[in-house]
Amino acid sequence: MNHSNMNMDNNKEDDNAKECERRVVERTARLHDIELFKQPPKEDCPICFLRMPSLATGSMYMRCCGKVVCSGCYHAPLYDDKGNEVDNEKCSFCRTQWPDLEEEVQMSKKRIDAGDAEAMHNIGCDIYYGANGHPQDYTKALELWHRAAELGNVEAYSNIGASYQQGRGVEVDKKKARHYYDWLCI
Amino acid sequence: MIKRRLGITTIGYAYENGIDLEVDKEKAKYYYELAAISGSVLARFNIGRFEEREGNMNRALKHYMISAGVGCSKSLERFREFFMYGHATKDDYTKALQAYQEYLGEIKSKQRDEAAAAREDYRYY
Repeated sequence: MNHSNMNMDNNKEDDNAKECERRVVERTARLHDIELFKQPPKEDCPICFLRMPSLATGSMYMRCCGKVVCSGCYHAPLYDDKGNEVDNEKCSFCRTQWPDLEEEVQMSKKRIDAGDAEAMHNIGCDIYYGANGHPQDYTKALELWHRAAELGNVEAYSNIGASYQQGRGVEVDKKKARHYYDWLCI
Repeated sequence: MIKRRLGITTIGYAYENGIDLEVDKEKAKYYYELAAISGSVLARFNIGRFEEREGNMNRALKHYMISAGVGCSKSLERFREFFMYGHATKDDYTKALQAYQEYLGEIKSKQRDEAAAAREDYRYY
Protein backbone atom coordinates (compact mmCIF):
# COMPACT_ATOMS: atom_id res chain seq x y z
CA MET A 1 0.00 0.00 0.00
CA ASN A 2 2.66 2.42 1.08
CA HIS A 3 4.83 1.47 -1.83
CA SER A 4 2.20 2.18 -4.49
CA ASN A 5 1.53 5.62 -2.97
CA MET A 6 5.20 6.50 -3.30
CA ASN A 7 5.09 5.53 -6.98
CA MET A 8 2.06 7.73 -7.59
CA ASP A 9 3.84 10.68 -6.00
CA ASN A 10 6.92 10.10 -8.13
CA ASN A 11 4.84 10.05 -11.29
CA LYS A 12 3.15 13.31 -10.32
CA GLU A 13 6.49 14.95 -9.65
CA ASP A 14 7.76 13.79 -13.03
CA ASP A 15 4.73 15.30 -14.75
CA ASN A 16 5.22 18.55 -12.88
CA ALA A 17 8.88 18.69 -13.85
CA LYS A 18 8.04 18.08 -17.52
CA GLU A 19 5.37 20.77 -17.46
CA CYS A 20 7.84 23.21 -15.88
CA GLU A 21 10.48 22.41 -18.46
CA ARG A 22 8.05 22.92 -21.33
CA ARG A 23 7.04 26.29 -19.93
CA VAL A 24 10.65 27.36 -19.50
CA VAL A 25 11.47 26.42 -23.09
CA GLU A 26 8.42 28.31 -24.35
CA ARG A 27 9.26 31.39 -22.32
CA THR A 28 12.92 31.49 -23.39
CA ALA A 29 11.84 31.16 -27.02
CA ARG A 30 9.44 34.06 -26.58
CA LEU A 31 12.06 36.23 -24.87
CA HIS A 32 14.55 35.39 -27.62
CA ASP A 33 12.03 36.45 -30.26
CA ILE A 34 11.40 39.74 -28.49
CA GLU A 35 15.11 40.49 -28.50
CA LEU A 36 15.57 39.30 -32.08
CA PHE A 37 12.79 41.42 -33.59
CA LYS A 38 13.87 44.64 -31.92
CA GLN A 39 14.59 47.55 -34.26
CA PRO A 40 18.40 47.99 -34.28
CA PRO A 41 19.77 51.24 -32.83
CA LYS A 42 20.70 54.19 -35.05
CA GLU A 43 24.31 55.41 -35.18
CA ASP A 44 25.39 58.91 -36.16
CA CYS A 45 28.52 60.17 -37.86
CA PRO A 46 30.53 62.07 -35.19
CA ILE A 47 31.17 65.02 -37.55
CA CYS A 48 27.99 65.76 -39.53
CA PHE A 49 25.56 64.10 -37.05
CA LEU A 50 23.65 62.50 -39.92
CA ARG A 51 22.70 58.87 -39.68
CA MET A 52 25.53 56.47 -40.58
CA PRO A 53 24.87 54.46 -43.76
CA SER A 54 24.67 50.72 -43.15
CA LEU A 55 26.57 49.83 -46.34
CA ALA A 56 30.21 48.94 -45.56
CA THR A 57 31.62 51.43 -48.10
CA GLY A 58 29.77 54.31 -46.47
CA SER A 59 32.06 54.63 -43.44
CA MET A 60 35.79 54.89 -42.80
CA TYR A 61 38.01 54.01 -39.81
CA MET A 62 40.52 56.72 -38.81
CA ARG A 63 43.87 55.33 -37.76
CA CYS A 64 45.08 58.37 -35.81
CA CYS A 65 42.17 58.82 -33.41
CA GLY A 66 40.22 55.58 -33.80
CA LYS A 67 36.91 57.17 -34.87
CA VAL A 68 34.53 55.89 -37.54
CA VAL A 69 33.57 58.68 -39.94
CA CYS A 70 31.09 58.68 -42.86
CA SER A 71 32.43 58.73 -46.42
CA GLY A 72 31.12 62.24 -47.11
CA CYS A 73 33.04 63.79 -44.19
CA TYR A 74 36.13 61.78 -45.12
CA HIS A 75 36.09 63.01 -48.71
CA ALA A 76 35.14 66.65 -48.01
CA PRO A 77 37.90 69.28 -48.33
CA LEU A 78 39.21 70.94 -45.14
CA TYR A 79 39.24 74.73 -44.66
CA ASP A 80 41.23 76.91 -42.24
CA ASP A 81 39.89 79.99 -40.36
CA LYS A 82 40.11 82.31 -43.40
CA GLY A 83 38.21 79.97 -45.69
CA ASN A 84 41.20 78.74 -47.69
CA GLU A 85 41.33 75.11 -48.66
CA VAL A 86 43.97 73.17 -46.75
CA ASP A 87 45.74 70.22 -48.31
CA ASN A 88 43.87 67.02 -47.64
CA GLU A 89 46.63 65.33 -45.67
CA LYS A 90 44.84 65.75 -42.36
CA CYS A 91 42.42 63.57 -40.48
CA SER A 92 38.91 64.98 -40.82
CA PHE A 93 38.08 64.30 -37.16
CA CYS A 94 41.14 65.26 -35.06
CA ARG A 95 42.71 67.58 -37.73
CA THR A 96 46.22 66.27 -37.22
CA GLN A 97 48.59 65.40 -40.03
CA TRP A 98 48.48 61.74 -41.10
CA PRO A 99 51.45 60.13 -39.31
CA ASP A 100 54.44 58.95 -41.40
CA LEU A 101 55.27 55.28 -41.54
CA GLU A 102 58.15 55.57 -39.04
CA GLU A 103 56.12 57.83 -36.80
CA GLU A 104 53.21 55.44 -36.91
CA VAL A 105 55.41 52.49 -35.96
CA GLN A 106 56.84 54.38 -33.00
CA MET A 107 53.44 55.63 -31.90
CA SER A 108 52.00 52.15 -31.97
CA LYS A 109 55.03 50.72 -30.11
CA LYS A 110 54.33 53.17 -27.34
CA ARG A 111 50.69 52.19 -27.34
CA ILE A 112 51.55 48.49 -27.18
CA ASP A 113 53.79 49.08 -24.18
CA ALA A 114 50.95 50.96 -22.51
CA GLY A 115 48.64 48.00 -23.14
CA ASP A 116 46.35 49.20 -25.95
CA ALA A 117 44.57 46.16 -27.39
CA GLU A 118 43.54 47.93 -30.60
CA ALA A 119 47.14 48.87 -31.44
CA MET A 120 48.33 45.33 -30.70
CA HIS A 121 45.74 43.96 -33.08
CA ASN A 122 46.64 46.45 -35.83
CA ILE A 123 50.39 45.85 -35.63
CA GLY A 124 49.74 42.10 -35.45
CA CYS A 125 47.89 42.35 -38.77
CA ASP A 126 50.76 44.37 -40.30
CA ILE A 127 53.29 41.75 -39.20
CA TYR A 128 51.08 38.91 -40.42
CA TYR A 129 50.92 40.33 -43.96
CA GLY A 130 54.39 41.89 -43.88
CA ALA A 131 52.91 45.31 -44.63
CA ASN A 132 53.98 48.86 -43.68
CA GLY A 133 57.68 48.08 -43.29
CA HIS A 134 57.30 45.14 -40.92
CA PRO A 135 59.03 41.85 -41.79
CA GLN A 136 56.54 39.01 -42.16
CA ASP A 137 56.44 36.72 -39.13
CA TYR A 138 53.43 34.53 -38.37
CA THR A 139 54.44 33.48 -34.84
CA LYS A 140 55.14 37.05 -33.74
CA ALA A 141 51.77 38.17 -35.10
CA LEU A 142 50.07 35.35 -33.23
CA GLU A 143 51.76 36.37 -29.98
CA LEU A 144 50.50 39.93 -30.38
CA TRP A 145 46.99 38.74 -31.21
CA HIS A 146 46.93 36.51 -28.14
CA ARG A 147 47.86 39.46 -25.96
CA ALA A 148 45.26 41.68 -27.63
CA ALA A 149 42.59 39.00 -27.26
CA GLU A 150 43.33 38.64 -23.56
CA LEU A 151 42.83 42.39 -23.20
CA GLY A 152 39.42 42.10 -24.84
CA ASN A 153 39.88 42.73 -28.57
CA VAL A 154 37.25 40.60 -30.28
CA GLU A 155 38.66 40.82 -33.80
CA ALA A 156 41.93 39.30 -32.60
CA TYR A 157 40.08 36.10 -31.65
CA SER A 158 38.73 35.78 -35.19
CA ASN A 159 42.23 36.22 -36.60
CA ILE A 160 43.65 33.52 -34.31
CA GLY A 161 40.81 31.24 -35.40
CA ALA A 162 41.52 31.98 -39.07
CA SER A 163 45.23 31.23 -38.71
CA TYR A 164 44.36 27.92 -37.05
CA GLN A 165 42.12 27.16 -40.04
CA GLN A 166 44.78 27.93 -42.62
CA GLY A 167 47.58 26.47 -40.52
CA ARG A 168 49.84 29.51 -40.67
CA GLY A 169 52.31 29.74 -37.81
CA VAL A 170 50.60 26.80 -36.14
CA GLU A 171 49.68 23.27 -37.13
CA VAL A 172 46.24 22.93 -38.68
CA ASP A 173 43.89 22.26 -35.80
CA LYS A 174 40.24 22.72 -36.63
CA LYS A 175 39.10 22.00 -33.10
CA LYS A 176 41.20 24.85 -31.74
CA ALA A 177 40.01 27.11 -34.55
CA ARG A 178 36.44 26.37 -33.53
CA HIS A 179 37.35 27.09 -29.90
CA TYR A 180 38.68 30.55 -30.73
CA TYR A 181 35.73 31.37 -32.98
CA ASP A 182 33.44 30.45 -30.11
CA TRP A 183 35.33 32.81 -27.85
CA LEU A 184 34.64 35.56 -30.34
CA CYS A 185 30.92 35.33 -29.67
CA ILE A 186 30.94 35.42 -25.90
CA MET B 1 30.65 47.10 -31.48
CA ILE B 2 30.94 47.26 -35.26
CA LYS B 3 33.88 44.89 -35.30
CA ARG B 4 32.16 42.37 -33.08
CA ARG B 5 29.14 42.40 -35.36
CA LEU B 6 31.25 41.68 -38.46
CA GLY B 7 33.04 38.83 -36.72
CA ILE B 8 29.87 37.01 -35.78
CA THR B 9 28.41 37.41 -39.27
CA THR B 10 31.49 35.83 -40.82
CA ILE B 11 31.24 32.82 -38.52
CA GLY B 12 27.65 32.32 -39.58
CA TYR B 13 28.72 32.58 -43.22
CA ALA B 14 31.48 30.04 -42.62
CA TYR B 15 29.03 27.56 -41.14
CA GLU B 16 26.50 28.08 -43.90
CA ASN B 17 28.94 27.49 -46.73
CA GLY B 18 31.11 24.98 -44.93
CA ILE B 19 34.37 26.93 -45.09
CA ASP B 20 36.76 24.67 -43.17
CA LEU B 21 33.98 23.84 -40.77
CA GLU B 22 31.37 21.19 -41.32
CA VAL B 23 28.21 22.66 -42.79
CA ASP B 24 25.87 23.15 -39.89
CA LYS B 25 22.81 25.23 -40.75
CA GLU B 26 21.53 25.39 -37.20
CA LYS B 27 24.78 26.78 -35.86
CA ALA B 28 24.98 29.21 -38.80
CA LYS B 29 21.53 30.46 -37.93
CA TYR B 30 22.47 30.74 -34.27
CA TYR B 31 25.49 32.94 -35.00
CA TYR B 32 23.54 35.03 -37.52
CA GLU B 33 20.92 35.64 -34.84
CA LEU B 34 23.58 36.81 -32.40
CA ALA B 35 24.91 39.20 -35.04
CA ALA B 36 21.43 40.45 -35.91
CA ILE B 37 20.65 41.19 -32.26
CA SER B 38 23.79 43.33 -32.02
CA GLY B 39 22.67 45.15 -35.18
CA SER B 40 24.08 43.55 -38.33
CA VAL B 41 21.92 44.16 -41.42
CA LEU B 42 23.40 41.44 -43.62
CA ALA B 43 22.97 38.80 -40.92
CA ARG B 44 19.30 39.70 -40.58
CA PHE B 45 18.77 39.34 -44.32
CA ASN B 46 20.44 35.90 -44.17
CA ILE B 47 18.17 34.77 -41.33
CA GLY B 48 15.27 35.87 -43.51
CA ARG B 49 16.50 33.53 -46.25
CA PHE B 50 16.78 30.69 -43.70
CA GLU B 51 13.23 31.17 -42.49
CA GLU B 52 11.99 31.34 -46.06
CA ARG B 53 13.56 27.98 -46.86
CA GLU B 54 12.05 26.47 -43.73
CA GLY B 55 8.65 27.78 -44.78
CA ASN B 56 8.11 30.29 -41.95
CA MET B 57 6.98 33.09 -44.23
CA ASN B 58 5.66 35.27 -41.41
CA ARG B 59 8.97 35.33 -39.57
CA ALA B 60 10.86 35.93 -42.82
CA LEU B 61 8.57 38.88 -43.58
CA LYS B 62 9.26 40.36 -40.14
CA HIS B 63 13.00 40.15 -40.71
CA TYR B 64 12.78 41.69 -44.18
CA MET B 65 10.60 44.47 -42.79
CA ILE B 66 13.21 45.38 -40.17
CA SER B 67 16.17 45.18 -42.56
CA ALA B 68 14.33 47.32 -45.15
CA GLY B 69 14.03 49.99 -42.46
CA VAL B 70 17.80 49.85 -41.88
CA GLY B 71 18.61 50.16 -45.57
CA CYS B 72 18.91 46.68 -47.09
CA SER B 73 17.82 46.96 -50.74
CA LYS B 74 18.06 43.19 -51.24
CA SER B 75 15.28 42.58 -48.77
CA LEU B 76 13.06 44.93 -50.78
CA GLU B 77 13.57 42.66 -53.80
CA ARG B 78 12.60 39.64 -51.70
CA PHE B 79 9.55 41.57 -50.55
CA ARG B 80 8.51 42.18 -54.15
CA GLU B 81 8.78 38.47 -54.89
CA PHE B 82 6.73 37.66 -51.79
CA PHE B 83 4.09 40.10 -52.98
CA MET B 84 4.04 38.55 -56.47
CA TYR B 85 3.50 35.03 -55.10
CA GLY B 86 0.91 36.19 -52.61
CA HIS B 87 2.80 35.69 -49.33
CA ALA B 88 2.71 39.40 -48.51
CA THR B 89 -0.18 41.84 -48.71
CA LYS B 90 -0.06 45.15 -50.51
CA ASP B 91 -0.08 46.99 -47.17
CA ASP B 92 3.09 45.21 -46.03
CA TYR B 93 4.86 46.03 -49.27
CA THR B 94 4.00 49.72 -49.13
CA LYS B 95 5.06 49.83 -45.47
CA ALA B 96 8.46 48.34 -46.34
CA LEU B 97 8.91 50.79 -49.21
CA GLN B 98 8.02 53.70 -46.92
CA ALA B 99 10.50 52.51 -44.28
CA TYR B 100 13.25 52.31 -46.89
CA GLN B 101 12.43 55.78 -48.25
CA GLU B 102 12.54 57.16 -44.72
CA TYR B 103 15.98 55.63 -44.21
CA LEU B 104 17.19 57.14 -47.51
CA GLY B 105 15.88 60.54 -46.49
CA GLU B 106 17.83 60.35 -43.24
CA ILE B 107 21.18 59.34 -44.71
CA LYS B 108 21.20 61.40 -47.91
CA SER B 109 23.36 64.52 -47.93
CA LYS B 110 25.08 66.65 -50.54
CA GLN B 111 28.53 65.88 -49.13
CA ARG B 112 28.02 62.15 -49.34
CA ASP B 113 26.63 62.42 -52.87
CA GLU B 114 29.76 64.32 -53.92
CA ALA B 115 31.97 61.67 -52.36
CA ALA B 116 30.04 58.88 -54.06
CA ALA B 117 30.30 60.67 -57.42
CA ALA B 118 34.05 61.16 -56.99
CA ARG B 119 34.90 57.56 -56.15
CA GLU B 120 33.10 54.26 -56.62
CA ASP B 121 34.42 53.10 -53.18
CA TYR B 122 32.37 55.73 -51.35
CA ARG B 123 28.96 54.51 -52.55
CA TYR B 124 26.64 54.56 -49.56
CA TYR B 125 23.23 53.20 -50.63
